[in-house]
Amino acid sequence: MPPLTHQLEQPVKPQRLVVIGAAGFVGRHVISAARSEGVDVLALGRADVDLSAADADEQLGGLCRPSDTVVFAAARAPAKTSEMMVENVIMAQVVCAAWRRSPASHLIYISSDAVYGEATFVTETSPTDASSLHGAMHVAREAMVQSIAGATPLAILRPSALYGAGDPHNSYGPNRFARDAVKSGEISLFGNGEEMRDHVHVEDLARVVLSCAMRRTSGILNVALGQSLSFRAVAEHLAFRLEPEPTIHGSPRQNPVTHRHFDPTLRLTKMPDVTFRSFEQGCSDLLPAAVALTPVSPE
Amino acid sequence: MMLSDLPTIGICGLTHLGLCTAAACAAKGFETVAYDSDDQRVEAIRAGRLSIEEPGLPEALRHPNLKLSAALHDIAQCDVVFVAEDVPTLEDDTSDLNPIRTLAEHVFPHLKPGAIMVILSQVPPGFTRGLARDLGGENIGYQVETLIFGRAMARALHPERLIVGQLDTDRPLPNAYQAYLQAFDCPVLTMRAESAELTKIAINAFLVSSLSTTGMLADLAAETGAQWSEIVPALRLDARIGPSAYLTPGLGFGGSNLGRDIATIEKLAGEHGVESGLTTCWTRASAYRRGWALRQVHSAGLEADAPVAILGLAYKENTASIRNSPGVELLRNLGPRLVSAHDPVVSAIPDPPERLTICATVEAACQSTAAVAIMTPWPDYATITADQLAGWTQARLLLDPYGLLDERAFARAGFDYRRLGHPSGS
Repeated sequence: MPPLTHQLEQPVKPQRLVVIGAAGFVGRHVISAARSEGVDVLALGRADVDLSAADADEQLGGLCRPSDTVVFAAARAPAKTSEMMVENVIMAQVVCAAWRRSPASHLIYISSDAVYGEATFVTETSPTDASSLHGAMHVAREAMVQSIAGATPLAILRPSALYGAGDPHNSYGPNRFARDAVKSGEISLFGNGEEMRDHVHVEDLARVVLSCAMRRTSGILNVALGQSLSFRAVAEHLAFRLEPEPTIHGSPRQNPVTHRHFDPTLRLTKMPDVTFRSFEQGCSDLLPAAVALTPVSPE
Repeated sequence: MMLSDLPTIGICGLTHLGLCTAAACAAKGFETVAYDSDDQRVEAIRAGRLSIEEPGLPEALRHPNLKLSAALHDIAQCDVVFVAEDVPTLEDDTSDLNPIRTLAEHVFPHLKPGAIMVILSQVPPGFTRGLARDLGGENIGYQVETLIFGRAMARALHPERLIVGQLDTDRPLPNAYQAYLQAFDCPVLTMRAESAELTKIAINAFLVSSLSTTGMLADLAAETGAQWSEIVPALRLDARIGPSAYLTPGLGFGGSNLGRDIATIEKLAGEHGVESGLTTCWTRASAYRRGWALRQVHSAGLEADAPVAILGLAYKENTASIRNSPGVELLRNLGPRLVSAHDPVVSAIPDPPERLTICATVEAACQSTAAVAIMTPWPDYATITADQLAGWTQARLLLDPYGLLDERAFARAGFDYRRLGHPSGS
């Protein structure tokens, strides 16, 4: 992939933003950010186009216009089994087939930092590693969307660990910690929560997506703050904000400690106007949402 | 008037390397012909208009032994003729060797009988032998240049050693060339041309290796509460590391020479099947270091449009070159912030952004800014005191990557002082 480039020097509202995966965690926040900027949005969830249907490519192609900016945010994630991986790849195949029928003017693919495997410190030039199913799935989907984009600008965004209100997953991290803290007054860590991760608020990712759409950005960008925190520190940030303060306890470690840090220089260079919130700022948003949280079914 | 006991030396290609070599040669007492086929370039040098900044060079070029010329018949008077044009570097740091080859082909037919042509420009292993084959001559050699921007005259006059590459190491060097080499009163190492060509690259690879290791350890020092500057003297006293080792953390290997040699190694390693993953790490580490100041500005929590002062636009002190300059890169990446900049010798940059003002004084540059970043370690900036800076600006964030200033004094004066290899707020 060529280096990250903005095709438009000044931001211009896209004629229409088509969001595939509109009901998902990322999709919903992208739609909300776009609408708040007055951008016309076509939100496509599974209820609108079922990407597993036989004629899904025809349906999807029929909905897209040449002037659209398409955000491909649909995934069944994380891909934990080979079946889930293949299902995700087929989804991408449908999007690619639809694109061939009806290409739009800009494609933004929401990938993941899982493409870097176990690497501790990553930049956009770090090699990808397809040794996990979830990582392999995004590596494959990235290659697929690259193969159909041709001369059309294609942005591939690789977000780090996401958190924020309305996360349907209950995977280990800030959202689960917030729910558990509110529900049971306890936060349980793997080991002592030593692992460092770069936690990104989903609304900041949505703002990056919108910025890409408005500048017709192409290239690969990691979406990360550039400051990693241990899971223990994350838990402490949350606990500090609750009354009574929940207890944090460790557990026998099942897996070795791994860390993930990002070099944010490219983002700071290319998107100086999109400032990210620190986890300290972001987690304040998380708690009231967790308190009011009702279980959400997976996307 | 030509001296009969000393050879006459010709230097072809009057860019940075050629000019410094010619000036040093004249200073050593040789009748020197400084030749360039571009008569306008020769005329500009004669009029004292140099496109480069190099301390001591303008004076040295006025030496009476030095004859500036655009006439090839002057080269025909020389016993040793150096091809010393700077090697242009392309965007991807690879070398463009065509100008060197063209110049050598242009000059070679005009050599007088018995004269030797020596390639001084930086070329990869095999270049000199290939050139000799193409030109059908055996009187061609290679000599390693060790020019350092900003210290080029001192290096040209007092080299640590001279490294000479020969096509045939069994044949003695021509007397005239030997006389030239002896004038520098330092060890002369002769070797195969390919070895000499690779020596130059090897020197730079070791420097990059040291710089990369220094940078990583300095970052580690800053994060663990250590101070890199306290560690350095201990390393210098280790005979295996040495008193002159590159132990000052920097902002990536700027300028073109180090990057170019890394690109050459990668190209050669690719062609010859030599594992060279190390160079990939060096390049990535350098790219990361270049972003240090930008990351500091963002992590300091300044307002998104808070203006920043940049002191230093040259890529290093004592040069006007801005190629790969950390200061210029920073100012281009600070949009939409206003930037006021100062440099003792750089007064303009190509395609300046509208939000940039280049100021004549440090004081003017620092006014009305929220942060001050010293991006080139010019000696002028080391004299700034905390009282002065506090009087000039409301800025509290002070980036002094190279540690020119008294950290404690500025911290006491309330500055958020940040230096490579030192914990912030230490």
